[in-house]
Amino acid sequence: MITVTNLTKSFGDKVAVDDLSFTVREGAVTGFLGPNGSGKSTTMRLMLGLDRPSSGSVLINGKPFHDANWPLREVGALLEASSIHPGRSAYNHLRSLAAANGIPKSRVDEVLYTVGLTEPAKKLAGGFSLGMGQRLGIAAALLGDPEVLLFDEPVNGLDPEGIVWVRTFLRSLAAEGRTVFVSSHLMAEMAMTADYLVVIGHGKLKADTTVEQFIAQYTTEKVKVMSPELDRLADLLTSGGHQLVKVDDALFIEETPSALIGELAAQHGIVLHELSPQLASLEEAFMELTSDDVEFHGQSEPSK
Amino acid sequence: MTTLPAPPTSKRQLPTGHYKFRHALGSEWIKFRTVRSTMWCLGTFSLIMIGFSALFCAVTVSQWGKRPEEALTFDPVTASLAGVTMGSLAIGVLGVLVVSSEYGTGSIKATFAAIPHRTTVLLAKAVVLSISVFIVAAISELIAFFLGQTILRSASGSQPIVINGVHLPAKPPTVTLSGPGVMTALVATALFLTLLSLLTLGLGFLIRHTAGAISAFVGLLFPLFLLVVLLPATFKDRLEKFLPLQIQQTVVASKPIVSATSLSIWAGVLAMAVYAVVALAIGAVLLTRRDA
Repeated sequence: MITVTNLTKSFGDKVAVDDLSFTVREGAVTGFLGPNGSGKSTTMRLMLGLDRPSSGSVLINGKPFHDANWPLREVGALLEASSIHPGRSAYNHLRSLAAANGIPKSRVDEVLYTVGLTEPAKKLAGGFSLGMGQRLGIAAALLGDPEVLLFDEPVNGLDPEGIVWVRTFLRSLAAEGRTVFVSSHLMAEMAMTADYLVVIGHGKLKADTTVEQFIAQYTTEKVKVMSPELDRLADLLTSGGHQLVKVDDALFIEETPSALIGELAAQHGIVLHELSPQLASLEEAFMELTSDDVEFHGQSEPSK
Repeated sequence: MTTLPAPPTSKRQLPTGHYKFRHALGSEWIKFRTVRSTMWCLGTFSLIMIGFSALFCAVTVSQWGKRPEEALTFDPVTASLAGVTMGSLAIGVLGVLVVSSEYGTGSIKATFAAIPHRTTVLLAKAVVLSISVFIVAAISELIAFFLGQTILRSASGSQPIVINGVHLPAKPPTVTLSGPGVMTALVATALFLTLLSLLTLGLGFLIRHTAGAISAFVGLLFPLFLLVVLLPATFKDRLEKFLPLQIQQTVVASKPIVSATSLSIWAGVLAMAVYAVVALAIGAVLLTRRDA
């Protein structure tokens, strides 16, 4: 279990992590979501004691990481992709880490096999693709067979097969009772992988909930209707007090059961070509939640 | 890509106790010997130490008697270790790289995720570096010494040389390992190089960027020397002897010139030890205070 309490980190005037408090449970995957630059990596660095908090604390299984007896056997971490010396082989990278915590050499071969890097293990890590680098980082995290795992953007640079592999893998680690904390800026990916979500924007906590609750809370159901008599149907619905939007040849009606729309059309003899409930994408909900906090807003039209 | 197996399901009991200094030492030793830069630096050092010293001795043999002022103060040990000045650049760079390459590549994060106690990492690096540098320096010096003495001995002169009333031996003098001051010079030079590597290790922790730390090191060894030489005599005499380059010229001699403007061999080694300890101490303080 990871307990984050009033965690704050400032770099000069800039507050990167702003009074965060949440807990990460064992036996589950907790997704750590936020747009790029929202403070996810800094939070993970604070968890590992790589950065010193300005105030607040992080406890891992009840104590600060700095006091771990066997750090790699207690917490495994995949940090931002670039924490490997390119002039050293994957095997020697892992062996140096294993030696640091008294982990037997045989475990190095085990984790290399687990992530599918047995073949290129003796090659220099500098020649690895982004995806292979991520796998090596995951291997390093698994080295000590730890109870707590931190993964910072683990699917970055992975091909679709690799993404599915990581997803399955994270779930199986959680199923073994481990604490799995994984950051991502991809909402859809987390919806498929995580049980719990911690959402931050601009270093502040935006949501701390289950994936189901998040979906229920932040998505609204719309019904798409297509009909040759679209305008008549629109008038009927508007006069009935329903909110709707017309997009091209379709109407999108908010918070109205599709059955009600179908019955209304039948009563007035309106032919329908389509009547389908639409789930607003989680990606939209996520963007809305953190919209005020995206570090660099893209300009959709030139400013006047 | 092949299909990947499921993760192992075994959950291990944590061994009792705590990671120890020897774990950090083992880890640093693996890291030290598994990057090419280590071999490059140590190899370059050996090559310069042996090659340049041999070249210097060969030139001495061919020029013997042509420059009597230099011949009078000729020290066969200094001649056979003539490569140390240039060689020390490679040793200094190695000390910097042991730290700065980890910051440059980001692998320092992996290091501290395995050993959060940062001073332990610093000490382990210092031990691995100093033992390695001392051994490589000692072996290279011995080879350079024997090769140099052999070359000096091969000089063919038979008649004493007299130039402007100055009497010179027919051949450059040579010494054996048991000669006066020889072992002292060899050991002191190896210690000088070892302490120099620790000084630049400290610089590495201080500056963290390879280019910056190497510049600081080269700046410490040479430009500072030029600057002190330009000072008024009273300051120059007091400061010059404390410069690493000046100390280095003292430690390689079997007959060091004792004067008010130079330190004795062991005082020179002590001064280098002080520099190394100060650099490492400042490095350690910053290491524990700064974000990794």
